[in-house]
Amino acid sequence: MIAFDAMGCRFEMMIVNDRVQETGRDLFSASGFESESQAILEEMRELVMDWHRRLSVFEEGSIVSRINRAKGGEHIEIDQDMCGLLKQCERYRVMTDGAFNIASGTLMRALGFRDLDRDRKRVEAVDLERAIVTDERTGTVCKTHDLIELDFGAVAKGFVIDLVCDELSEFGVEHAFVHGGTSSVCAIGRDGSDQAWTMRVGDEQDGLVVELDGMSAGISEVGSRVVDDEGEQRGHVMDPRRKESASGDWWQVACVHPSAAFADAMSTAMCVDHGLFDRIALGQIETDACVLIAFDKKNGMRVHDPIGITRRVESKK
Amino acid sequence: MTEVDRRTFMGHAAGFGAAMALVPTLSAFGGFGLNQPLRVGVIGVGRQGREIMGELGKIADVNVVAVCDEDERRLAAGLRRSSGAKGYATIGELLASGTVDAVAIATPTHTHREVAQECIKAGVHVYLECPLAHTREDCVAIAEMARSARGVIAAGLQGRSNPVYTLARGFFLSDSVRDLVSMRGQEHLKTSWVTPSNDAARKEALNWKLDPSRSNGLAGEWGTHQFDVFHWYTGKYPASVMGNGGVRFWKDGRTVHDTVACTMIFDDGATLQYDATLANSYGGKYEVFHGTNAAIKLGWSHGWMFKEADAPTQGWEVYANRQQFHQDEGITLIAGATKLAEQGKLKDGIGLPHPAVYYALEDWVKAIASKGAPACSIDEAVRATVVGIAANEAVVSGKAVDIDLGNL
Repeated sequence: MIAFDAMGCRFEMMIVNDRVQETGRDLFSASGFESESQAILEEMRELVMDWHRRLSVFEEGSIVSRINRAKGGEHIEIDQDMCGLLKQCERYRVMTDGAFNIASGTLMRALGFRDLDRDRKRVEAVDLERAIVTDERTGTVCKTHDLIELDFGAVAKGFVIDLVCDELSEFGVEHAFVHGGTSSVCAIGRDGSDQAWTMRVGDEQDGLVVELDGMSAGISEVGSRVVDDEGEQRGHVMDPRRKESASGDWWQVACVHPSAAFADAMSTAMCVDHGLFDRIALGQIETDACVLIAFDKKNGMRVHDPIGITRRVESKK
Repeated sequence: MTEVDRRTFMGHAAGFGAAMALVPTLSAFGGFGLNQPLRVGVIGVGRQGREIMGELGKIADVNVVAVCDEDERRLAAGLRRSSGAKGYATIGELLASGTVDAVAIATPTHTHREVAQECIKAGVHVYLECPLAHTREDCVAIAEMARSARGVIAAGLQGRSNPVYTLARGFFLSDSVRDLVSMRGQEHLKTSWVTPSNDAARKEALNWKLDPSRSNGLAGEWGTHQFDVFHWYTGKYPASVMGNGGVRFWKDGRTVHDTVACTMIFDDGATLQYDATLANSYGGKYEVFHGTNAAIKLGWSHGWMFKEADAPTQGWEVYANRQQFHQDEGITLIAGATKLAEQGKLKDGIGLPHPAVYYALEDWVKAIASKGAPACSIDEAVRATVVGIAANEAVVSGKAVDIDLGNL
C-alpha cells in the first residue's frame, strides 16, 4: 500500500494478492516480487504527483497557472497529454450543457475561494461557455478573456485515477483499489478476501453500499467547502451558467461508471444541474451503463442502478 | 580550484541586504535574446527526461522539437509530453535529422560518455545530467570532449543555478556564517529505487541503479549533487572519504546499499558528514553549513539562516521572514524577498516556484543566448562526480579512500 498527499487530498493505493505477472528472470532474486509491487505503486505515485504539479492552481510553475496568468488571445503551448485532457473536459461541458466547466476557476476567484480579493461584478461579462480555444494542430490553448481561470478540481482526481488504473492493468495488476480523498475511487478486480470492493455513500441515517468491480466512482458534496460571503455561506461547487455557487437540495451526489474522470465530472455536474440525473438515467446522454445516487435534503435518496450493484444500509434512526 | 577569498568577496558584498531587492522576480518568463527559437531535443525520456521537457516548455523561445529513447514505451510517453515533437529511437537518427540546435541528455549515468560524445561531435549545445559518468575514466573523456566543443556544454549540478543557493552563497561568502565548523548533508526518501516492468530484459535495462557494475550507489547518484554544493560554497574538495552502508530495509536480493553514510575529510581538517537512505523520508534532502555565527540550511527549494544569539544583527534582518523549527528560528532566504514583501507575498514557507532543474535549464539557455559560460561547467561536474565515485567506493569497501583530483 502507498499513501501520499496530492491534489488537495490524501491518495491511497493498494495492490492485493500481488497477482503481478511473472517477469521471467528477476533482476534481484525470487524475493524481488515484494518490491516489484511496491515499485509499481511508487510509479503510480509519481504519475499522480506529476499531474498534481501540472494542474495545481497554487503552484506558480504549473501549466494551469501559466494558462491562468496569460492574457486573453495569447496562445500558450501545451503538450499532447494536456491537449487530450482539455478535449475531454470540453466533451463533458457539451454533454452537461455547461454544468461542468473547467472555466469555473474564474468564479472560484470572483467568489473568494482563492483569496480575499473577491469581485463578482468583474466576471459578469465573461463568457464561460467559450472560455478557451484549444488548437490541437498547433498544440496551443488560448483564453478568450483576461479574467478566465481554469480549475480542474472537478475532474483532476478522476482523470489521474483513470491513468493509474490503465497503468496498473499494463503491469498485469488484477486486484487493486485506488482513491483520492475518498471522493474519487477506482476498484480493479476483488479485495483480499475475494469479495467485491465496496464503498458506502450517504450518511448514518440514509446510505447505500455499492459493489465496485472494475468500476470507478465520483462523489460530490455541495457543502464540503464553503466561504462566508457577507454573512451567507457559499459552497465550492460552482454553477458556471448562473455564475453563482451551486444551490439546491441535493447535498451529496455519486456517480459510478467505468471511467473515474466521467464519474468525477458528472457527480459535480449533477450537483449543479439536478436534471442531468434523469437525462443520464433515461439514456439521453450517451455513455456506458452507470449508477447514479443522489441524497436530497427533503426527499431522501434517489437511485438509478441498472446493473444491480447497490444495496441499502439499515437506517440507524 | 582556488579557494574562494571570502575577505575579498566581503568588500564587494558590502550592501548585500539591499542587493536582495535586485534579484529578478522568478515568475518572469521573458526571452533571453536568442536570434531565433532554440530547437531542443531531449535524449532519454524517462521520469527525469520528461520533467526536463516540461521545464523547457516554460522557457521563452525554446521549442522541444525532438525526443529520443530506445525504449518504445518511454518514447511514446515523451512524445505525449510534447507539442508536435518528432520521436527517434537512436541518437544518430536524431542528430542526422538536422532539426536540433541543442540536446538535453537524461540517459542512465553509465551511458553518458557515449551519448555526450556523439552530441558534442555533432556540434550541438549540450545539457548533460549528473553525475557525469560512473567511472573516472569516462569523466575525463567527457571533459576532454567538452573542451573542443563548438556548443555550450552545461552539466546538471543544479545547486549552482538555484536562486536560493546563489543568494545563500552570498551570505556564506560575506561572513554571515563566520568560521566554518562542519558541514552536513543528507537525502532521505522512502522508495524502492526499482523501476517496474513486465519484461525481464527491459527491467534489467531500466534498473541500472541497482546494478553495482553500472551504478554509483546512493553516495554517487544522489550525493554528487550535494557534494558539489559544498565544493561551490567553500572552494574546497575533500582529500579522503570513509564510508559504510548496507541493505537495511529493501531485502529483495539487491546488493546496492539502501542506506549509506560517509565522512569526508578536507585538508584543513574540516569534515562533511553525509548520509542517504531509501528506507526513511524524514528531513528529505538538505545541506547545512555550521559556522560560529550562524548555520545555513539549504533545502533545494528553500533556504534558512539560523543565527547564534551572540552574532551581530544586520539591518536587513529586521524585515526578514522567519520560520520556527522547534527551538530554532530560521531566517528565510528567498530571492527577491524585498519585492515579495512589498507585494505582501512574503509568507511562511515561501520557496522557489519552479523545481531546481528549471533554473539549471534556464541558465543553460541564457549561456547559449549570450555565448557565455553556464553556471556549472563540465570540469566542475568531473570533480564532483569523482568525489561521488570515491564516496561510493568507500561505502562499498568500508575503507577510507583517498580522493585524487590532480589534473582534473
